Amino acid sequence: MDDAALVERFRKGDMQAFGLLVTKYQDRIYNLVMRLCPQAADAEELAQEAFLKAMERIAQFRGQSQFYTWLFRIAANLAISHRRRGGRLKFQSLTGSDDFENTQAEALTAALAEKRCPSPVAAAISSESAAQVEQAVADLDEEFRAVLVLRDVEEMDYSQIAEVLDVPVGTVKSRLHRARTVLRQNLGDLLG
Amino acid sequence: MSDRDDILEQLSAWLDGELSDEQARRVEKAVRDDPHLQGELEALRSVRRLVRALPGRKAPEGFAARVLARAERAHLLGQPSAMVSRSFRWISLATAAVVLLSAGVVLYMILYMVKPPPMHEMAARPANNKPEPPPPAVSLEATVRDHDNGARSDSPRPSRAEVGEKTIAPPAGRPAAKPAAPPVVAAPRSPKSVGDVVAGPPAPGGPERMKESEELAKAGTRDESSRTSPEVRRGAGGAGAAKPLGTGGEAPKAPVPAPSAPATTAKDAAPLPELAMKNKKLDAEWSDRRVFEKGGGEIRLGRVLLRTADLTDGRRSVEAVLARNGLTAVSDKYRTGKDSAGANVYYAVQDRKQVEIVAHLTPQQVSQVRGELDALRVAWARPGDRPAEQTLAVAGAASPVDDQALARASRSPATTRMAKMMIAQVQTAPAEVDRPGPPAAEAPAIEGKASGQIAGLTTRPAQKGFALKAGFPAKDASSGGMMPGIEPAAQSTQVLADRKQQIEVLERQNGAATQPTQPENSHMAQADQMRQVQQAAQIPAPYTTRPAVQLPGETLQVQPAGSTLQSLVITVVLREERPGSQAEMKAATTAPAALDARGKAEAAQQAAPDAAERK
Repeated sequence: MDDAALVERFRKGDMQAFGLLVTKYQDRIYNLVMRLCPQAADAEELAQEAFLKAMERIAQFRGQSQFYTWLFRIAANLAISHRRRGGRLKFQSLTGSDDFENTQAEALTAALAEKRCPSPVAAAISSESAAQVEQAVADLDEEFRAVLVLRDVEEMDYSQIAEVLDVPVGTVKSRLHRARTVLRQNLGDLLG
Repeated sequence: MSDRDDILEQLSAWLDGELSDEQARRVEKAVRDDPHLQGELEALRSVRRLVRALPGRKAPEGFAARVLARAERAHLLGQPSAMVSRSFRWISLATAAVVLLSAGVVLYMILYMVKPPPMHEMAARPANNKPEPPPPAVSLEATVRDHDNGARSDSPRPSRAEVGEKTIAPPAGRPAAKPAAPPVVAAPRSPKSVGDVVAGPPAPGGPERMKESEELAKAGTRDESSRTSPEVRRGAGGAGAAKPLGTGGEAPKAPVPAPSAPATTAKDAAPLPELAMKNKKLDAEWSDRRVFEKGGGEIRLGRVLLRTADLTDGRRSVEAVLARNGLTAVSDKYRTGKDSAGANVYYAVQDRKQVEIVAHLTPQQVSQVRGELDALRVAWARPGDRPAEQTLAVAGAASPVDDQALARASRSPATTRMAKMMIAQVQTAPAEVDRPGPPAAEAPAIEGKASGQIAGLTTRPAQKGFALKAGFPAKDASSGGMMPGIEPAAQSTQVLADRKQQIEVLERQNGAATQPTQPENSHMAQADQMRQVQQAAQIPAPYTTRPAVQLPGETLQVQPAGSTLQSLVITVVLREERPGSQAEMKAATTAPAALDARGKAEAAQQAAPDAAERK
């Protein structure tokens, strides 16, 4: 069932439809929030909050955009505001040495299971390099990181990113270029 | 910017296929001709590949279930999510400060710029003329709601700084989702202490008001005593809300006749503070909060403490109340259901000692459930657990008390008014006061009346012999188990106002039902007096009851059922308590006698100097 039908059912009070939407997007929302606000406890809370806010405001969703774009917008804004409000939470490496193997396994699984992970490069990345990449992404300024994550992790096009972040497409373009350039500088060793 | 820099800027977009055909051709040509650009492009491609290769994070186990659980609860309670509340907390505080400042300015203008009418004009006013109602204060609920609406209102593309703070705002051009809610009249906060009882609302800008505002801003809730009349609770519910009873400026409507036969003439105001303390303690057993929902509805939260000698028995009784009102209590899990319109969803969860009711009900249903639970509470109350009105009425009936003393001992003007009615009822009918209630076994008809409100429920044996002084009819057998006597708050605006008159009429109508019996001794008379007052107190319980019998010329207007469902959350806590010792029961039962004795002693002391003077 497509999102529009589920949303319509949910509008009519069908909580089961809402449950289906949650199930469908939970991983992507969690992943997004995790990238934007890399503290696991906060990320889960924020991801839950995103769904709850979507539920609260479903009446305001006019269907002029994709539901998931709308949902991502909620989640992204929540994560960004949380990070700003929280006084810039101290960054913790997403891949501690202990759980990297699990992470790598998850990456392989994700790569094999999902088309949106086009190539199983993750399998080839050493734990050190993966940690460097994660760190470099997390070190980006919020505005650059959000654009980068939405583009390269969520594979949204520029117009969707612009809608999610409520900025012009030109801004998305320049921020993305800037983000990649900074990453390139910070990952010079990996890139050779 | 040079052409090469411009091309560099376009490389990422070209990589993502986000350039127009013309731009793409231009970039491709430049890259073909420039090895540096080729290197840059390759580097960007590698960066993109690395980022895309990052492992995806999966939501933790049980994430969806947790979201749904929170969603269900939020959906039922109409609660804004916690983070939303936090977001608006500071805005609400700031707005509250502005509102208070404005109120202060208005108050200043009223006090210093408006000349009061001449004294002779004031004196010429009729005695029963109601004072002007206090100017409506802007409640914080409205403020919060306004903020909420404002936050959700549509706006053009925000500035960059707003992006993080706001969440989803529909694109420009869309109509506003909801108009700003009109300001509503704030219901007065029920006093929390004896000294807190005031005739009018707290002065704007006062510390009490500030504290209240802060509490509201923090929790988005308004704390009100459950003993506040339903009209008061409903008062701030929205446009057209009924004027709160017992609010400032409203004098007690029903004039209380002067005591024609005071039991004693001593200074009996002394025990009132103690009683008030007791009342305050009793208040804690009925906690009641109201939370405003964003959409303008309201949520009622309550916690009822019911004492029962047997938990199983008590739970069964509570379940009977729920079942009669279409609610189902299930063990250890929530259950959902829908009404015929597919809108009502009710939940109930319970364990051995606790029953939680989370329901979407009409206001009438809310009142019904709560009224029945309150009836249970009164029915199970031990003699020492008299509600405030009863306590005051017993004290007042035993001795004359002046209005000020009564007001000091009351928690609210409504309580004062109700106590006065009870006092008047007892004092103006000395013959009835002196007659004891018939024993339970000998008066089945009267028992039926007395327990009419709680028919079908388990009542403590000690309650079965109570006579119902006011003669309210028993539960109608044809009512399908519902209690016709309990009236939703909105339907009873005039009931309280005309209470005394109704009681008198009903007494005349039902006079034959309560055959007087000569008291065996004064102790029995006093015990019966207290019982009668206790029974009478069931009538004006916070969930006002209305006689099923239509009074001649009755002007009660039953308002149509509200179309908006209210959320009701009541936690019924069953406290297992064995009946107290005989001595304790006796002490509580003979409290009026003690008061009377003390009053007589004081009267004797007072009379002694007078006698000496006369000599």
